Amino acid sequence: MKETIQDHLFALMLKSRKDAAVQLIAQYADQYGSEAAVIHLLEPALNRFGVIWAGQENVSLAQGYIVARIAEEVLAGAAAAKPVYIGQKKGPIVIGNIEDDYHDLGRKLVTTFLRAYGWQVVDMGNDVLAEDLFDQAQSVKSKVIAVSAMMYTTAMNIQKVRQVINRHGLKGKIKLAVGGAVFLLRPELVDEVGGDGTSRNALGAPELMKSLWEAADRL
Amino acid sequence: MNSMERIQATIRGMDKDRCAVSLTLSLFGARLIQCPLETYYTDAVCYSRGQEEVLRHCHPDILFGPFALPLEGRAFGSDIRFMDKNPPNLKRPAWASVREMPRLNFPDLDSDPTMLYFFEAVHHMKKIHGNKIPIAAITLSPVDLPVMLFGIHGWLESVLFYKDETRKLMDKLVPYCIKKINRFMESGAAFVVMPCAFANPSVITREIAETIMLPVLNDTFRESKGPLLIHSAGAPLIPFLDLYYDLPGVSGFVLNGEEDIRLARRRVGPEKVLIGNVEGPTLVNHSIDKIEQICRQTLDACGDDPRFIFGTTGADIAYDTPVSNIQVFTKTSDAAGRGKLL
Repeated sequence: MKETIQDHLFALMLKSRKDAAVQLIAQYADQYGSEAAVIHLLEPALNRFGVIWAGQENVSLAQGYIVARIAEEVLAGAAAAKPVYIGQKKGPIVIGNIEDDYHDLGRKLVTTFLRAYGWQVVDMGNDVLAEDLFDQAQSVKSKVIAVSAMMYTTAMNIQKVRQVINRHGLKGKIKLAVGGAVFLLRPELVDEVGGDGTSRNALGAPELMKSLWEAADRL
Repeated sequence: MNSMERIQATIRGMDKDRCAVSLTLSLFGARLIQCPLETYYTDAVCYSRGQEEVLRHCHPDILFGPFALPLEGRAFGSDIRFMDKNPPNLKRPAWASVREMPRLNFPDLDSDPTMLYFFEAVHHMKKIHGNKIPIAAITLSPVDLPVMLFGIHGWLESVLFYKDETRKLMDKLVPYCIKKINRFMESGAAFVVMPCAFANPSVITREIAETIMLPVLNDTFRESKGPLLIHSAGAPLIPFLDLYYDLPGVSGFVLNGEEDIRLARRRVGPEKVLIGNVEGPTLVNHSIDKIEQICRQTLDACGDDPRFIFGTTGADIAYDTPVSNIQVFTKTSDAAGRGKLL
């Protein structure tokens, strides 16, 4: 069976060949335009990569990181002409590592993929207090607060975000997305900290935000 | 049999009275002596006193030196934060990436207060417990030490995109790590446990493991004067065990929680020690009955493996874990005796 250009890009992603992947997309963009390159080449490859990442088929953090960099470079290149992203512009999402947590790589990957899929993101950085996340969400009228933690002990601080949302009577109206390595090891933690949803990997975050945002809209 | 004899019998694959038990209770000692964590992680005598209480209350067959890896980052200039109920955390790494590092000043292993704390804690424990129980040092391997210099993000970026600089850095880190491991041995460590996240399939690709990490581990371990254990660092290690099982000086592996011990045994052969496989931080949430059930299942499945050490893996057992939850391990191993549970 003949390998399509989409197959070729996907294979480059799996092999962590960033420069070759970016070059392939750039060549396609030269021929068909930036928007077509994003819609017909980058998006299908990202979606396909997301499926195997979610299935835990031996995808490493290094591979996920390379794919994020590919998306970032392609979209930055495309944006030089005009803003390009996958889907419609939406959001904003307020994101941060919870109080006491300084492991920022997961948050940065999520932010990259959210922006690639058209989400506006307010990134508040590491060690953010629950009240500050909530106040920011109120200030920018966000319906989803996304909180990251790497370890069990810091993940428990996410409960404070749930408490502050509930205390203001906004349960359901502001959704709480949670993520980080510890939630992969212990999925039951999502409920324990009061999360409304999680994603197994950064590439699943855009779909998670979409479902949470729509659920908040319905209330 | 005392703990030293039990562990030595395990390493040699010989008969013993029961399966040896390893419990990661570095942090827990602070709770038992009600010591503020900043003191506990800077005062070797306090640490040693905490571990005496660990032995008295929890009865493990191995005592661990401080499991506080970010402390070593501080010795290189990174900022850390002491916590109320957790080991210290890396707050801000010294550099953003290997390219931004103008020069690397290594801490002097004979005078740096942080590094002396690690060695003295092991030395104190050895002095107190002699040959009754082995003392294991836990320290950063050369593949993970850069995490404490650049953070996970910066180190991943370096490994992926700045290979020449990464190799140059490794050339400097290897002799330092050899010297550090050997200082632990001279201080009385029976073996050194090295978490290796950047040798793990959940973090790096096989290509990176083979071309960058494996040669570095090989160069380091070849010159190390004492047995080493590779720790899975919180993610499954089995898919890459074929790369590491015959590294020089490596006596065994600390597997990740719930990894298949029998599969790991097939991968590494009969000579290596395997430690596993209950996730330590989860004990705080389980009932005693649940923990006993997990212990019995594990021992029933693997207790007859002559080089299996039963216990917790992953990070430290949590500060608030009830002592009774921890005691279940040794009680169950005692009850199981030599072979399978009756």
